[in-house]
Amino acid sequence: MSLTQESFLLLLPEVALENIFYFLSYDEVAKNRLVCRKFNEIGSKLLSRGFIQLEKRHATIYKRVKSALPRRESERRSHPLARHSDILQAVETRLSMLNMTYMRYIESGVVCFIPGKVLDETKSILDLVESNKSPPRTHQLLQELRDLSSMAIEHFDEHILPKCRDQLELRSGVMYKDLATKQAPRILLQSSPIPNTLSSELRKVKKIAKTHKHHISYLTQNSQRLSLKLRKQNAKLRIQMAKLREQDRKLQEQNAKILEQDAALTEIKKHMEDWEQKYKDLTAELVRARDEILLKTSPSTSSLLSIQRACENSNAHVPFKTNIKPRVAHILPKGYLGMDLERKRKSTLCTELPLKRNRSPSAPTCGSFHKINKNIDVSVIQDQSYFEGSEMSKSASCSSRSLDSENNQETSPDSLKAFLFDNLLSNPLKNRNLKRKLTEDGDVPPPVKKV
Amino acid sequence: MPQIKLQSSDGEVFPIDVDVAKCSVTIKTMLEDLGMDEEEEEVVPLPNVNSAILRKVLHWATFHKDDPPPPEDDENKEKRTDDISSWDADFLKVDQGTLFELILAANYLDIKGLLDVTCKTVANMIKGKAPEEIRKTFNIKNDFTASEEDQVRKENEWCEEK
Repeated sequence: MSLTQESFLLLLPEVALENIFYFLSYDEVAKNRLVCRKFNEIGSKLLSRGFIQLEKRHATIYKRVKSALPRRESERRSHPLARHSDILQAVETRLSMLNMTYMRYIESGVVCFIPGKVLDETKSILDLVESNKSPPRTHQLLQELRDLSSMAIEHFDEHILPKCRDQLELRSGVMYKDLATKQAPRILLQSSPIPNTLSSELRKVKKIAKTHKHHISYLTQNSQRLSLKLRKQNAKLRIQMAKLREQDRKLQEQNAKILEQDAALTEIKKHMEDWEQKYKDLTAELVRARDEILLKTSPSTSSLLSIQRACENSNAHVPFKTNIKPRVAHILPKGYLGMDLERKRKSTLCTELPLKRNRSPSAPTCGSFHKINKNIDVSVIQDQSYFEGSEMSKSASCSSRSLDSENNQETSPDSLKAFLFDNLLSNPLKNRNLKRKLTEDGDVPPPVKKV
Repeated sequence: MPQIKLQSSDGEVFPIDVDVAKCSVTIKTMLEDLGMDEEEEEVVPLPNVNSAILRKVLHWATFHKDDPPPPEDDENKEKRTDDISSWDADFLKVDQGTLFELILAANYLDIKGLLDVTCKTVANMIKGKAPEEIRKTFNIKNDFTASEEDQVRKENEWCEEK
């Protein structure tokens, strides 16, 4: 074959060999690394390069698909490229996992991208996504990729990683040593343990940074979710606030109405009170006027006056007192219509009415009525017994009611009678019917008997 | 038809049509860059290609001179190796030495079509073979140390079915 006893194949320049390997699948390239060092060297290079190229290609395709998709997620689902996007997203996850596992060690040249089969699978998926209008369902399509990548990562973590770490440490140590020997050869002897601690420290820091990165991405997602919730809550709150304001406004309106009605009510009450007062006044006035008229028309008033005077001047009034029959005043002859008579008298202005007490011993004239003192009290009542027999005694009984209660009290023996009169006077309206009744009932014979 | 003279490493001159010569991007670029006068009978030396290989290359180029220009190198295009034409297959039924020299010549002259077809042929020789078989086929010596081989073997264990 060859003169140099060496394979022609290995005499080919690297570019040519790469060109040959280019027509092999990544899986075959990976397996053929076992053939010889050169195969291993070129195969490793191709595998690592292949992974980076696939990452780039995926990013390009994903970007293109994403830009073709609508912004709204709801519209995206029904878009013809939706499945493409789903697949690409799943592939991206796998690629990033693989990247995290291998890339650090690939960059430091300790290993290559070992799982060639994964690259083939990813490539075929990307080819399918790029060429096919309607790729199969994500799950079916990605099953193999998921399995392969998981297997590869697991295997790497369990079997390859420890050795890689050792190699890395060794390498960083060597590098440090190189640096130290170049700069200050003496220090190297004193500080030989430093490189290991330094590299382990660096590794720790890198690890921490990695975990932090994960945490941060997780937290960012969380915070995004929360902020979305917050926005929704805010919107709800705004609606509630608007409702509350509306309710407040209504309440104020109602309050205003209530106040208005209150005012109206108090006004009405006031009016009622006024009217009541007026009515009371009028009633009082009426009673007084009636009594006055009665007094005016009654001839007995003058005699009453004289009797009173006599009582005041002498003690002889005592026997009179004993004769007083308080109830007599109310007893009136049958057929007496007090009110009718009163009205008649008022309308006829006293003059036409016949004198009631003709038999009075000292009958004063009508003009003498003005002289009637308010103080007439007991004497009037006493006098009543005198008129009891007569028909006109009813008028006397009425006139006696007009006497002031103050004066009644002055004469102690007759205070009881006065009190009764007072009662009648104070509630004329209420007792009107009662009075009438009394007067009607009163025409019983007892007083007549007395006479 | 303008002609150009190509001289092999062992001094043999091959007068060929410029169109055929332009299959080689290297020659094409050279002609374009230097603006060679068609009337001049200058010889283009090709020190990396011997006469036997250059003859074969020119044979291939003459046959493929009317081929459409090869598509731009695309990393994503399918890596097929089963699309070698029967003429090419017959053409490449040569010993490994010639085959690899053809690869070298195609690489040097930058004839993409020839390079592809020769590489495909070699790839087909590799495909479906275990490492040991490949070593045998290409007379390759396993130059790994035991630990190195063990390491690579271990790395490739990940997809082995249990």
